[in-house]
Amino acid sequence: MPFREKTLWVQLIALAAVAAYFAYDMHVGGGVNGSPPAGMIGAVIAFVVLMVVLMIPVAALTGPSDREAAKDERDREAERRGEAGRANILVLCVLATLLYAATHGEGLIANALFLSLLLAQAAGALMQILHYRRTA
Amino acid sequence: MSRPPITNQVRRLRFEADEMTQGELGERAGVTRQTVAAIEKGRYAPSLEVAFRIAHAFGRPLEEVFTFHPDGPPEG
Repeated sequence: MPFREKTLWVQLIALAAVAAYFAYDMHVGGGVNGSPPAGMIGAVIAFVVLMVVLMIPVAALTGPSDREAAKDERDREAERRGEAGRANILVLCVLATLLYAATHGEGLIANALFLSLLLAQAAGALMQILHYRRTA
Repeated sequence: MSRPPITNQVRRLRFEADEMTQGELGERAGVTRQTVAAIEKGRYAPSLEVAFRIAHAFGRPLEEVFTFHPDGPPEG
């Protein structure tokens, strides 16, 4: 298994643990509206700490040639697929939040989310146009 | 995920090249050892550039290393 895949497995475990704790904390400690900055900062710190702790044995059990191998085309393809999956989930979640904000009198948040979607779509279109132009 | 409709002779050619390791071939082709293993198993179809690099590493023409099956990958 490539080192990058091992890193992704570790990331998945760490994210699942942090997301589970974050969801539990939201549920127990004041619901979804409870003190967002503190909970989020805590989750980010917990994620970083978990990643470091879990990566130490993984890195120790991986040979240096695998650990230091440069990214190849298969890695880049996997990355592109990951980005596409990430973008789809993000858009779905933003749409759900936008819908909630728009129907609950949170005009600023709804408009900001809508503008974010427009900008993201425009950035995606621009990147694709650049690729077509570079390869024309 | 479906297998690509391409088979290859990479394993045999490595054997004939003094048991060249997957790592050595990967180094010459600019891919990782694991990517060479995936190509050998027919699980991953390399880009045209990497296919040429692999053929070049063996000093063989591309069609001697890779075979395209337009009707889908052969069974087995």
